[in-house]
Amino acid sequence: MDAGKVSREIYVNEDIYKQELEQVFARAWLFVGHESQVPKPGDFVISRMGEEEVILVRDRKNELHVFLNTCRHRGMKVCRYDDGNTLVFTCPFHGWSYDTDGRLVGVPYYDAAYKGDMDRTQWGLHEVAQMSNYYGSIWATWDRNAPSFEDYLGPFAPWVRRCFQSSDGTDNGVELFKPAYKWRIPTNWKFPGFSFDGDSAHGAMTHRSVNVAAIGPQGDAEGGSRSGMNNPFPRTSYEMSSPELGHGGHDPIYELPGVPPYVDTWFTVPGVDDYYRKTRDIAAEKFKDQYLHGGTCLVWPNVNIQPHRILIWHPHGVGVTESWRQYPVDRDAPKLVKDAQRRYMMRYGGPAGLTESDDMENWNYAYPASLGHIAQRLPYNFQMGLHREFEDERVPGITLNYRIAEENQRSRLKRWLAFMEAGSWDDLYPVKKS
Amino acid sequence: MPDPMQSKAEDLMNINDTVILRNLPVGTKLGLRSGAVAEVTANPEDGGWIYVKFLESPADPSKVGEEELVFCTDVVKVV
Repeated sequence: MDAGKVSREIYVNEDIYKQELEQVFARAWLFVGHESQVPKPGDFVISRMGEEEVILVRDRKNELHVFLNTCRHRGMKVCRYDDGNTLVFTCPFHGWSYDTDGRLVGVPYYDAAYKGDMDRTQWGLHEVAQMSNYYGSIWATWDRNAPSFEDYLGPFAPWVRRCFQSSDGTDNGVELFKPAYKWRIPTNWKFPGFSFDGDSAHGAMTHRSVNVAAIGPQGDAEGGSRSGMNNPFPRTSYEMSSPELGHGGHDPIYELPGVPPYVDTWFTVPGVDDYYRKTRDIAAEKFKDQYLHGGTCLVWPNVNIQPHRILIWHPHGVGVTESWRQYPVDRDAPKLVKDAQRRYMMRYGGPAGLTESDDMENWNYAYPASLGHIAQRLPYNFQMGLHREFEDERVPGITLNYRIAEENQRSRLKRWLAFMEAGSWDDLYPVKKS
Repeated sequence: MPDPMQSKAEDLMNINDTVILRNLPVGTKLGLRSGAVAEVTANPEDGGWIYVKFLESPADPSKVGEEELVFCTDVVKVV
């Protein structure tokens, strides 16, 4: 790693993948969902942690829970719907039935066949060891010794908080569009997971066709760039990461404090700019002293959080990734704005979106091309910006590099190695610096 | 969920005289295998279980007034 070289084996080896399920996905904090998906008692939505399905549910006392979706009797799924509202989760195999708080409340023939010999309190749904409701976003870990979610985020906590604020800066101000996009791609989860928000170098080549296709909300203005209209505020963008924690993204630091003036962008949908112009003015008052506003960030190991989309890379076998997309939008925005946002994100991202189909093409071919006997003799090159990292007092605790570098990817790989080698959270946190 | 005022007992039984739990509205009175009579308080609509409150329970009077989840094989009839 110090030489910027990484064996292809860690992306394609079945045994290493199986170790990841235990060392990484059974211990790290993972994104589960958002409380807006389950607003009422009895509401549930299916999610995933690693390879396994979990149920995010609001119980009858309004408490949120995350349970493994498997009956404690013979393992059948107790929930086969993507979302809904229920009184109980009843296993369709033998009929064991669980309350929304996870208690086993129904066992067929309990009195006649078990005669009281089975303690039902010990056979409830398996619940995560820790769950965190972080400004409306729900995260969980199977490891009771993991640090708190906020400590896990470290200096990137404000990034995640910002992504769940509405555009006017109100905490927990968003909701997610339903349903989530879910599709499988034939590649290892680390190809997308460790490169997204850490691979600025790919855009000019990979997305060349999109960049000239005018798919941005501004139509063909400014050449139809897929990004919004350029903001006039002086700023410098960097790769920003934590080699100790693995999180990181790429964001600008403004040369002046405050929120830049609004630039009209939504030329193709009249009325949307009016809404965002107003919310920008409210945010400008709240954040008038800030130089950094967050934006894009990978929360290690497998979720990218951005203001308008959440990208989750679930492992589904060494060579299969189940890709999920969730799209946050201001909860109190008018329908016109929500519709515009939804349509734009569908056009931009997701399985049929113009940019992500470009990305998938790369990841899906890089994986099989790395499987070969000869190919595996050749390491990947992660040397872009190697040993050129620096710090900036405006973003304490964060390592910076030139905006086109591979610092973020190296940080993710360093944290991956730490997890793979660590026996417990005692070895992972507080962070050990070599 | 069917409207209890519109449901007839015969709509809630199949041709084998088995009670169709999924269709039981809240308020329906049931005869249970134990001889108890109970009233539906909530229906998970899973076809296997039904929440009831015991109205009569000759075999175990302490159950009267209690709410319980009852399995389909313990429901004998709609009364």
